[in-house]
Amino acid sequence: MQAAIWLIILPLLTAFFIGISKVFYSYKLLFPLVTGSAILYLYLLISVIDHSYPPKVYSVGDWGLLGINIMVDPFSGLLLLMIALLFLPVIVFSLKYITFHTHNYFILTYIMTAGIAGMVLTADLFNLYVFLEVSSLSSCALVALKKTNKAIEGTFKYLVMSTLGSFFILLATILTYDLTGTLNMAEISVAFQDIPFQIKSILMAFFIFGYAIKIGLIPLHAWLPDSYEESPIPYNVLSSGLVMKSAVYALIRVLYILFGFDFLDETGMLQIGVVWGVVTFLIAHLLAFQQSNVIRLLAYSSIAQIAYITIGLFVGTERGLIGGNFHILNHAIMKGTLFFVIAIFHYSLTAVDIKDLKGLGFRFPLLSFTFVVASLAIVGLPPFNGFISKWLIVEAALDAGFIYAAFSILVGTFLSLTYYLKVIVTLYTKTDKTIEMKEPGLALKLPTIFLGSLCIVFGIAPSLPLSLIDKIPTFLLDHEEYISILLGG
Amino acid sequence: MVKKLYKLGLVVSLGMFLFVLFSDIHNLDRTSKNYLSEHYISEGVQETGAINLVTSVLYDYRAFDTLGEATVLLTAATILAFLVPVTKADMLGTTFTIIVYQATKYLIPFIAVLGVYVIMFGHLSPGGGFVGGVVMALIPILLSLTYGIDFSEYKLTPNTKKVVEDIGAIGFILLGLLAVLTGNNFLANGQAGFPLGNAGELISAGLIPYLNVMIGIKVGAGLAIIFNSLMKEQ
Amino acid sequence: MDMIVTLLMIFLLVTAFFMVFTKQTANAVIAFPIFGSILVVLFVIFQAPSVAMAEAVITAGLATGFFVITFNKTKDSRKE
Repeated sequence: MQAAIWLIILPLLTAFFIGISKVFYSYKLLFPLVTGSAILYLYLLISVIDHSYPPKVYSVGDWGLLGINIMVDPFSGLLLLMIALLFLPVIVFSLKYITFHTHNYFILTYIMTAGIAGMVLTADLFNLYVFLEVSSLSSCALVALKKTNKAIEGTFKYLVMSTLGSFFILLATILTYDLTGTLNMAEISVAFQDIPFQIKSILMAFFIFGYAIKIGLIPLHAWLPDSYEESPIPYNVLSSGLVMKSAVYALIRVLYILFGFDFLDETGMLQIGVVWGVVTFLIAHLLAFQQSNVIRLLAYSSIAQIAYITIGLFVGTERGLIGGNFHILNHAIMKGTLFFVIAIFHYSLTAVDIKDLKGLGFRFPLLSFTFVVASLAIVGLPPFNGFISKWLIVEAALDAGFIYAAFSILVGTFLSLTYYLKVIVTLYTKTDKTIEMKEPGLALKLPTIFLGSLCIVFGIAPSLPLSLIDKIPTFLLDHEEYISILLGG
Repeated sequence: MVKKLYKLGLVVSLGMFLFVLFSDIHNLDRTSKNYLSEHYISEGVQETGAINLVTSVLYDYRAFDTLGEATVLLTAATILAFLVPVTKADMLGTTFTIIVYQATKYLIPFIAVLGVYVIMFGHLSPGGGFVGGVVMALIPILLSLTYGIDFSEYKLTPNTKKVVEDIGAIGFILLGLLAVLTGNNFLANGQAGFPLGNAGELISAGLIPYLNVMIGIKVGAGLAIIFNSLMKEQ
Repeated sequence: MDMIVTLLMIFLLVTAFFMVFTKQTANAVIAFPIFGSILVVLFVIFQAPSVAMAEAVITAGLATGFFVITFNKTKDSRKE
């Protein structure tokens, strides 16, 4: 299992080497360093995902339960699969797209990826916090990359909110350590059985509040569209695909492993989660409808999609978990495609408002078709991947008795169809204007079409990712197995 | 006035809430659950070879966290270096009397010795890489404050500091990878067969002193970058 | 010894409240190292020299420097 630790070290090493090469070689070494490391990283990721079942434990520093442990299980395998699908396309895309602060962009992207990989792999509560901080801080930095006034404003909001969230997570982590005297997730989970109900629910409230800020559930979402608006668009692919998802991952990991499913049921957290999700996506869809800027529209759409994921994960049945996890993967792919297409439009003719997109459907036939495919997938229309995961979530909600949630998801589908149709109709409206534009190269088109085709592939053959996702619920619904593996390893 | 009372009420109620929570936690019976910290205290010296227990936890038991924290600092330095304007200007525009300049000149060697001592003896006495790095960072900071930022950056260019910072971070990872070369896990120290030596000697505790040096280099350079970036103006 | 600890704790609270509620940012900036120094003394009393050293150097020393530099750049301070 030596490869697992390399998933964290390799991006860090790459980031530091880019820092050195910037001083001595300027741009000469950037391209081979970045692409070489991204390809090597892909290989490592695949080899780790391949061995994610049965779960394996790797002890950093050979300390066993005294030190920090890293654990690969199907749930982390899913997140690693998302990194594998998104990271190389984003790097290829950015090499062409990013023309300012190139070195800093790649340094921060690699550090962010290391942070996300660390969050996904670790089985230690404080280590989780450290890597959360690594990823969210570098994420803040990437928002500010353009240094325009709007970008700085977005960064400031993001930084304040993210620090507030981190504060609550750190507080809960410290209290947990004080209560149990250990930071290993399995040992905490065992020790938590003797802790009174009241203290445990307060701790859970701290964790949920902290992570809800990072995820951007509705009353706590205000930073998200602002931070997306002026950031470099390839970063948005990683941000909506990985940074938000890693926070969801951490929340689910903490809730299901530390507190256990029974406790969640007892406190009524499952109901709260579902209601919160429903409220979030209804409001987010309505807000998205009002936007004139495509990036803000996609940001609000991200909030709504995260709410679907929340519903799926909080329904509390096996099928709900499968649907929610499948939607995590699908949303990353679909939103990545949409952002890539918008990024190409922005690259070619700096178009980010909906009205600027007029007539582009005839100018870029293939890219516009990709955009249509991805937006229909995100709405949840049949032959695409979004349909299957949404269907699984609706079915799970019906099975568990959340009729209102299932009904609202159908309503939400229509709401999202309206604003995506608005964009698509504008795309295919003819105009007489002739516009100066840069021709996007193959380096920009290829990642976009790759992700767009995945929307169709996963829609037609959902068994490809589902063979991995099917194994997830066993380790979440019943945390005994996870604990015994972590303690035994 | 009402707003102030509201703020005060908010703070006080949050404080009360936390106080009740803390007292609840402390009233619990948890005598048996401190095995981890007790293990660190009773076995730490034999297992890691470091007398300073804080160092043994920071650089051996939980060295992986330290890597993450150092990365956070590097990220912060990178952000400030590109966010703050590139053009230089003087900070306060103050000129000092000759006493300040001379005092700074004589102070710097002492600070350097103190910093090196704190870093090198991190596993034997209080201190360690982080604290020593901050002390070392005081040298460029003092130079910037008294002689101005131009002189400070002439002596130590930003690029030098950036390279030193990256070398510190890479060195930490490479030291961790030494254990992988011998067929053990990342960042393993005593288990990987590095000689722990006699506890209390300068060269003991396996990799810990070298990790300390790397973190010291990294933190010092990073903080110097942050400070100089903050001082620059448009 | 208990007396000293209690007194220091009270001072700690007072400086913390002062930092939050004072009107001028400059006061808060200067109160910050005082807060840090009291913490240093407390850490020494509680026999945690390594933590005390980190606190003294980083919080009471360096962070205050950062705050002063940053505060110097805000518009508020230029007018006076």
